[in-house]
Formats: sequence, C-alpha cells, structure tokens
Amino acid sequence: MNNLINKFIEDAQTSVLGKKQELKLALCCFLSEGHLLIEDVPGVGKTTFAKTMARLLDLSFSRIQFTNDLMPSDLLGVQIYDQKESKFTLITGPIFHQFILADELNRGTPKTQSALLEAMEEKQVTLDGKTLPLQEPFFVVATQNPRSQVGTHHLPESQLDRFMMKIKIGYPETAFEKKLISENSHQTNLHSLRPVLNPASIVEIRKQIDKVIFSDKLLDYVLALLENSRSNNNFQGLSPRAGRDIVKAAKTWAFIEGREYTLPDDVQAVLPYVASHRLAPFQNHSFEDDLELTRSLIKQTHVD
Amino acid sequence: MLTKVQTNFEEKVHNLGRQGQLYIVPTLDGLKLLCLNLILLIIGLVYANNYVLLFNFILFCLFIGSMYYTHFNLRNLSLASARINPVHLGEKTNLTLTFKSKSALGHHFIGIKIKHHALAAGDLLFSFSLKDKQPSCKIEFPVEGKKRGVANLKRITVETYFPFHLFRAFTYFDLNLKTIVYPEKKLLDPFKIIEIADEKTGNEDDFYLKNFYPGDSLRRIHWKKYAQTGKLLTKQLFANEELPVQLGFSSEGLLPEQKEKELCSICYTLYELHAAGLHYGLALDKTSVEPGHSQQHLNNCLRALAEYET
Amino acid sequence: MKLNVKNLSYILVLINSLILFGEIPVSVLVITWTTTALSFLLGPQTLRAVIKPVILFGSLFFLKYHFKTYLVPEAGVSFVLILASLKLWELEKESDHFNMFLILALLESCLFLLKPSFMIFFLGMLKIVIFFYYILKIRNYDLSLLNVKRLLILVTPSILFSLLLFYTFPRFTSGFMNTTNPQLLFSGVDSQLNFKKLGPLNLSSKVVFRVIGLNAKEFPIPLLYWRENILWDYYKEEWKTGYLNLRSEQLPLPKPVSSYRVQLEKDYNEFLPILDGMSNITKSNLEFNFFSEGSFRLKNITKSTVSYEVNSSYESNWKIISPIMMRKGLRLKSDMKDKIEELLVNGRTFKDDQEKFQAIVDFFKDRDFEYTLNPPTYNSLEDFILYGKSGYCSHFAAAFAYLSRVMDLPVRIVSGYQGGEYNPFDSSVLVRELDAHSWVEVYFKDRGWVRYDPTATIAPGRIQLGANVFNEKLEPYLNFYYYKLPKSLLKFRFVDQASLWLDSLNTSFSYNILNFDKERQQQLISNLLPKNISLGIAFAFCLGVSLPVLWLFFFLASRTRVNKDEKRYNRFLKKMKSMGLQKENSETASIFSRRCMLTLPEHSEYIQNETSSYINSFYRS
Repeated sequence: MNNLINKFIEDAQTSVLGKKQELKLALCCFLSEGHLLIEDVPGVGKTTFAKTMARLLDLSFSRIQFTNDLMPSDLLGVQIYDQKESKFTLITGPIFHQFILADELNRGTPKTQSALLEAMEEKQVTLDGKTLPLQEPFFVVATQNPRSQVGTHHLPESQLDRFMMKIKIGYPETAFEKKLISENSHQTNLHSLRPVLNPASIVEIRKQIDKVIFSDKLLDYVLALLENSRSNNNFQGLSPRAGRDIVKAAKTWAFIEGREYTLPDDVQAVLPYVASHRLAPFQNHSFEDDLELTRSLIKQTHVD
Repeated sequence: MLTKVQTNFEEKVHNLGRQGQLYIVPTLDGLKLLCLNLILLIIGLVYANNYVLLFNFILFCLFIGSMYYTHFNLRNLSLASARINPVHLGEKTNLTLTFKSKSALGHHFIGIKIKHHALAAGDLLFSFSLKDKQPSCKIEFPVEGKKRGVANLKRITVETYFPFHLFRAFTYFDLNLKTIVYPEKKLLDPFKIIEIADEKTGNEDDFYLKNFYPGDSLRRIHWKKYAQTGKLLTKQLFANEELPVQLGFSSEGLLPEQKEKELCSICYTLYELHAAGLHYGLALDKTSVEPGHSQQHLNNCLRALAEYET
Repeated sequence: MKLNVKNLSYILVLINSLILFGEIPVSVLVITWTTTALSFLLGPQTLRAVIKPVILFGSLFFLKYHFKTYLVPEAGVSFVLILASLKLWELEKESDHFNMFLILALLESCLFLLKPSFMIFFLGMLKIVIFFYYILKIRNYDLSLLNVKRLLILVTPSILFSLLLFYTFPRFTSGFMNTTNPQLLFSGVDSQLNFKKLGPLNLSSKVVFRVIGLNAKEFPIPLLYWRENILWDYYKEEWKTGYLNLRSEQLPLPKPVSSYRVQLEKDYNEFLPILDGMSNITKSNLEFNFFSEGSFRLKNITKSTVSYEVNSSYESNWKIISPIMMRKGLRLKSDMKDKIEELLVNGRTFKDDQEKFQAIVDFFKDRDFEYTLNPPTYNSLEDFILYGKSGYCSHFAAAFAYLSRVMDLPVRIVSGYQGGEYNPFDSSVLVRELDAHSWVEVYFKDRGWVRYDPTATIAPGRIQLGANVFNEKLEPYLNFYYYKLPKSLLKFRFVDQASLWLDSLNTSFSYNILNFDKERQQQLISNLLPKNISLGIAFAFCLGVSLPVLWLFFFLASRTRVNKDEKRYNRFLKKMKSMGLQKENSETASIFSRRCMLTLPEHSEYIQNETSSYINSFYRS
C-alpha cells in the first residue's frame, strides 16, 4: 500500500513541482476523512495543487468559485418546474461531486459559506425538504485569501473547526520557480497524469490506517497538549473535535511514513496544521503567526 | 499584539507550576506535644521510670514520623496546568488546576490558599492517590471577583496538615495566570441615558416596538404606549436597524463610586445588546472597540471596560 | 450514650481514677469526681471562671498538707487527675480536645509511675490511641484515608526508633528522687508469727515473684522450697525475726549450682526469696544486706519491683553456727515447758540428737493433726500442742520448733514459699501468695541446719500436689449463700493458658523495659559498640541516624514503581547527560536519538538500540 502512496507523491510532484510536505499533508488530510483549507495569496498554484490531487485520486472533480453573489442554490442545486412533465426536476449543483475545490471561500457570503460547511460536516444535502447523500469519498479543499485582503468574509471560529487542516502552499523554491515560469510542461504533465488510487484502494488504505497503533502514552500526550492549549486566556483552547482530528491525522501520518504505530513525532508533525487555525487568538493574524503559536504549545508540553 | 501574546505564553511556559521551596513548620498543637515530650522526659528521668521514658519516646518518634508523613504528603506534587475564566465583579468562577503526582503514598487533604487583592477565594481540600489510577487530579476551585481590572494571579499556596495536624507543610506554585475581572453586570438606573451616536433620521412611521434598554435614545421612547401600559418601549426604525449602536463613556468629573456605577450599567447594556443580536461598539476615553457582534467582540468590549482606568 | 470526645474523656478520667484507687488519697478521688460531676451542672462561663481557680489552688494546698511535699509521685498524679477533671468543663473547641489529649497522656504516664506493670502500660497506650483517633475524627478527617497500610508505614519505623532511643538514652541508676515513702513502712506477714492472730487462711493467687532459670530446665517443679525469712525469737507468744547477724563475704557453693533470676513483685518488699539451700545473690537492682542465717534483706523497704540474680545449691544445708546462734536456737521462755517436756520425753533417754528428733516426729505423728485452712483460734502455742487438732503450716512449724527447743535441739522457723507453677511460655516458675509456707531447720552437729517440713508429715498432699490443687481438694466447693458451686466448673484450661501467656509477656516486658537500668544498659552497649564510647555519644548517634533513616523509609515508601523499560531509558538519558546531551522538554525520543547520533556517531548503535527498545515497549503496544 505504501508504494501507492509514494507513487502518488512522486507523480504529483511532476505537476505541482516541489511541495512534497504540503502534498503529504493534503493526502494525510484526505485519508483521515477530513477537509482541507489552503490559505495563500493568488497565483501560487492552489488550483493546480487541487486538480493534481483530484486526478491522482480518481475522483470526480468540480470547482466552485466563491464570489459575493454566489447563492446557496448555486452550490447545492435547484428544483425547476418542468412544464412538459408538469413536475419539479432536481438540477444538482457542483457539490454533488467527490472532490470539491471551493476557491476563495472567504469571498462568499456567510450564508453560502455555511451551506458548504454543513454539507462538509453532514456529508449530505437537504434540498427543499429532501435529504440527498453525497458521494463517498467526499473531500473539500477550500482556499482562502489571507485575512488582510479586502472584501472578504472571514470564517467564524466555529466554522474553521470543521476543517481538519489548514496549510499554506507558499512560493515555490527558486529552481522550481525558474522551471515554472520558463516552460509550460507541468500543465501538460497534469493532463498526462494517471490515477494512482481508486475508491477501492482508498477504502483499503483507510482500513489499514484504522489498525495503526496509537498507544496510551501517546493519548496522554495529546491530552496534555489539549489541556495546555486551554490554560491560556489569550486564545481559544482546542476542542475535543480538534483532539480527535489530531489523533486521526497523526495515525495517517504514521501510515504515510510507513509505520504501523504512531510516535509523538507524528503528532508534532501534524499538530501545527491541525491546530493553528483553531487556536484563533485574534482575527488579524497571519498564518505564520498561528503556526508559531502552535509550536510554542508543543514546546511547552512535556513529551516522553 | 502577537509578540505580546507570545511573550506571555513563553513566560507561562517558564513559570507555570514552578514550585517554591517546600516549607514545614510545627503547628501550635505540635509545639504543645513537644512540651509534653519534655515534661515526660524530665519525669522519666527524675523518677527513673522506664515506662514513662518509653511512652515519651514513642510519642516523640510518632511526632517525627508524622513530620515526615506531612512532608511526603506534599512532596512530588506538581502543578500541571491552571486555567481561570474571566469573571464579573461579585460573581464566582472556577480556577481549574490540574495536579500531578509521582508519589505512591498519594496526597491527602491538600488545601489551596489564594491571597489576591482582586480575587477572593474560600478554602478547598482535596485528596488523590495513584492507587486509584489517578496520576493527575483536576480541581475546580471557586474564586470570586473582588476588584475590577486585570488580575494577575502570581502564585498559590498549597498546604497540608495531614495526618495528625501536628505539622503544616506548605509550598508555592507560580501561576502567572492573568484573568480579567469585569465590572458588575447590574442595571442600577434604568433611566440613565448613555450617550448614543444615533442621529440618523428616517421615516418616522416605519417602525416597530421593542423593549427599552439603557442606551436607547429617549427621543425614541414610545411615550404614548408608556402611558397606556406602564412599560418602556422603544420605537425601532426599520431604516436604522442595521446601524450599529455606539456606546460612549467618559469619567470626567465623576466620583470614583459613580464611575463604577456607570461601568456597571454599560456592562449590563453590552449584554443586553449582545442578547438582542445588535451590532454595537464601545468608545471609552482612550480605547475604543469597533462595532461588531460576536462572542469574541463582547469579550473585547468587556475587556476594555475592565481595563478602563485601572 | 453517643461516643464523642467529651464522653470518652469522662470514661478515661473515671477509669484512671479507679485504677488509682488505693494509690492516692480518697479525698483526691472525691475532688476529682465532684469536679467531673460539676461539669454537667456548670453552664455559665463566669461561674466556671470563679470556681476553677478555687478548686485548683485549694487542691494544691490540700496536696501540700497531705503529702508534705509535691515531689512524691502520688502528689503529682493527684494533681494531674484533678487537672484532667477540670478540663472536662471546657471541651468545645478543637484546641481544647488536643489539650485534653495532652493532659490525658500526662495522666497515663503518671499511672505508669505508680503502677508499673505491663497491663497498665498496654491499656494506657490503647486509651491514648483511642482518644487521639476521636480527635482526628472531630477534625473532619476522613479516617478511611488513614488506612492500615499507611498507618503501618508511619507506626512501624516510629516504634522501632523509639525502642532504639529508649535503649540508648543515658539514664541514672535510681533517679534523682527517692520514691520510697517512709510513712508507708510495712512489715510483711512473714516476719512474725503470733498464734493468737492465726486465723483462717485465705490467700490470693496473686503472683509474688517469678523465677527465670538462667540455665535451661533446672527446677523440679512441685517440691521447691523458697526461703525468705528466718524466725528465731519466741517471745511473748510470738515468733519474730529478731536480730540478724550480718555476713560479710559470699560463700563458696557446693555443686551442683543453679543460677536463676528472681523478679519480686510484692506490695512491699523487704526480704528477698531465694531457693532453699546455700545461695549467693550476685546481682540486684537495689542494695541489700545478707545475713549469716541465709536470708537477704533490702536496705530500704520499697514498693518498686526488685530483680536479682542468685546462685543456689539446692541440696546443701547452711552450716554456719556461732555460740550466739546456738543460744538463740535454744532459747525458750514458757511456763508450760516442763509439762510438755514430760509428755514428750515420757521417761525415755536419748543417745543423740537424731533420736531426740525422731521422738519429736513420732510425737507429731501420734497427735493426729489435721491440715485445714480454717483452723480455730488457739489461745497459745502450748494450747495447740496439747489440745489442738487442726492447723496449717504455720501451726505445725511453730509447734515443731517449740518441741525441738524443749528437747534442746537448736531449731529455727523458716518462712517462705513452697512449690510454684511452671510457665511453659518462658520457662519460668510463678510463685503465688497461696504458696506461702513455713517449715523448720534443725541443727545437727555433723550436717548443719537440716530442713524438716512438719506439714509434709501431716499432709503430704500439700507438698506433692502444690498448694493450689491441694486447697481445692480440701474445699472443692465455692460457698454461695446456701448453694455450693464446684470450683472445677470455674476452671478453664484455655483461661489458665492465656493467663500464663500473659504473665510470661508481663515478665519479659518488665525485664526488658521496666528493669532496664544503667548497669544492663552499659553491658548492652559495651557488647554492641566498640569500647570507650560513652552513652551520650551513642544516644546522639542513634538520634542523628534515626532521622535520615526514617526519611529514607518514607522516601522509599512514596516512590512509585518505575517500569523496567522506562528505567532502562532513564539510564540511557543519564548516560547521554553525562556526555553533555540533555533531552529537552518537547523533544521526542527519535529526534533526540538523531541529535545524539549526530554528536556521538561512535555510540550510534547503542543509541539506536535503547531508543528502539523504548519505542517498542511504549508506542508499539
């Protein structure tokens, strides 16, 4: 199984150029059945990143560009009266896909945002009193502009909590950037990519991840982290849901690293990405600051 | 702002749970027992009675033993984490402390004492032992806000008299825990007008009625309805609904008691505004909070009130 | 009645005052009980405040008047008892409870002064513990937290160290204060024998003394004679000890010699009982004189326990005789001497002393005396010889001595004990009050003073069965108004065994604790420690050592058991630290091992092993 994961990372790198860590994190998030939030300035390849993943995972892909005037119905779909048949027919929205790229989520109105987030949480959509399940696996990658940008509606803390991870793609390294701006090969690479994983193998991998050992001592460590995060008034403490996500993500990380047991290192590796957006001390913080804060949380907590 | 939070955090990392020296002193009872020991020794010597001597030595050794017992009852106890929520003046909140233990004997009848000008606390005794698979113990310690402002809880005293009350062992744990004591949440004078920047006029007929709460302009009170029902109702113009309410306050020319009373009222108003789901802002002498509406926003406003002129 | 601190205090004060009954003046008890009773009545604080000093100072004056000095223990005990009963008035606050505890502790230790016995000590400790338990209960301590294991952790080392301190604490031979009260001089029953006063015999089974053999198993149990006192003078119908001759040096003893230790626990001790035959007392905790007659007497009559060691040659006879003694042994002033001599000699002539002696024995046998514990009262000794029928050992011994002196045989009465009960628990012999006995010693020129027991001639059972069994045979019923209850019904083997066991406990306790004096302490210390170390230094050393050792004990008890693998990893961490690498607070094991391997590549195999074993045991299962 690990071969598949390695192959996934390798293949993805031909299209995304570098960014191995971010790819791993994104994959980790997907395999842990979470959703991903990417925060970055426009033009660093967020969309390519998401498309690459969708292609390699062999999932149906749809992209939703969030704007001021995007309404929930644009997202979910709408019932239209068909005069010929004289009944309502459902026209499903882009959310009825497996891999959703919600571009510039924070440009949307709170109403639309919450429609998406509800679908993420419930994995089902309620349209005019009808409950429709979404297709499994269901993975949402939302991108967000940095907070300083104008014309944005920030996600409230309660909504942020629903994303398992928040990562930043960042500018590519110089060597890759040179390649990126000089040629257009990665674009063609994207199209030539063949799926590495399929739904069946994903289910299998998830089963194996469930079997990864998470020892009692490590659980105590996670509890200590949660407790320490709550002991400061300057920011919100981590919720039990955050704790659950940390455990899940750490297990998947251990699996990606090729181990069948989890180490504190795995927890420390995923913690900044799982926890930083949930600590949310003040609204006008950059992502780096949040990461730094999480690192000091790690520093404070004793590990055996 | 971040650096401030971070230094605060780092400081906490360094100081949290740092234990002071462990002191142990005999109590009055212990001293009395020591006197009895001396008397018995003299009696035993003078009358050459071995039973008295043996009795004396048994008492003495139990005395010494209980000293060690008391000492070890507190030894190996460490403070893992501490948390306190902001509190309103005169209201109670919990100081949550988590203690950890490495002692096989366990810890019994550990008392906590807090001496702080802004926080009042009662007495609390707790016990826990590793026997019951309890390596740590979480304690909710009720604390009452006594004085408005930011309270820095620097340290707590942890003491024990177990087992025989002959010795008192105590030690300090550094907390460096900052909490905010908000003003009292009390409506003192319902007719008191708090200045509101609400000068926009709209269609006078296009309104609905809602309950009056301080801060509403007196001009908007529906006096006719008041005459009919005896209830204060405010005319809420539809055109104004989305307009944020701006609370302002200046302490100029006010006595300190009056100032506190005013702050109480503002505090009450903030809660009312929050409950009504309105957007509101706060302007104090030097600080001001931009209009908004969220739990965080309410906390920011309350914080500004708590820190006002302290 | 609900058991609380106040009621418990009442009970303890009353028990202690009852134990002290007979030791302190009754008036003190009356004061105590009155104050205790007053505590029920006195409500108002002001009234108490007035009456309290009155009683306190009044009792002080009274004690001074009664005892002349405050320094006798009785005065102190009386005062503490009164103090305790006064404290009963105010037992409201917690601090009062503790003060009451201190006063009661003081009272208990005063009890030990007056009644130094194992049972009193044991009960005293028990009472104090119970009282302390209730104080803790009042202080709202959850007593379930003081569970057995934790209490043992506290109590065991404490008791051990208190014993260590007790044995090393330097002490003085007899204290600073002479505890003997000269007013209470008392002459024992044995030192005189008056026929007019010899009434029915009712002796208790209280233990008078214990004998512990220093060489194992040497006492042929029932036939032992313990001599205590010699009665020489017959004067005005009364046998008396009279003037005794001091002896200066110890005698060489013919073999076999048995050595034993005696612990004498009479109410008032004067003469020291020893095994009949020639004896030397080698060691004693109190000073004594020894006499040519073979008796030993303390220089001061005392109430405290006497313990001494004796070498005796049981089968030998005393041979010392001087002209004065010879005269004393023959002196007899009696109006009826001639009449009795006529009756006894009956016209016969005797070749030697042996024949004279035989004639007296025959006369005794012919008289058909009967042994009884309830003889009638006789007017005089002569009256008994001529017309008497029943009597007990004192009668027979006195009569035999009288007859011997009539026949010009030097004779003396020996009073002491016969028999004793063997205690298998500590191989000792218990001699009780009911074993009291008297016999005679007749002087023969070739053999010295020969023991003859006239009682054995008349009632051999008394000697062979022992006093206890024999008395029971004489009177098998307990009279209870008109009913008769067989005594055998009241005897339980189990109870007897238990009492013997308790007695052996008492003996060893009083030997090891109560009579542990300076001499034995020095002996013990010199055996254990190198020479020339003074007691003070030994004590200071023990005190100095006991504190850290006690600390260590608690330290070990409070230590948590560390997992084997964790221990191993801790060792590894220590080793790394010694090489200058310390694991940081937030550093995981694998990151630390990587850092170690970077700086110490030569140890990389060791580092890898340790880290992987740690990870395997804690994160892989």
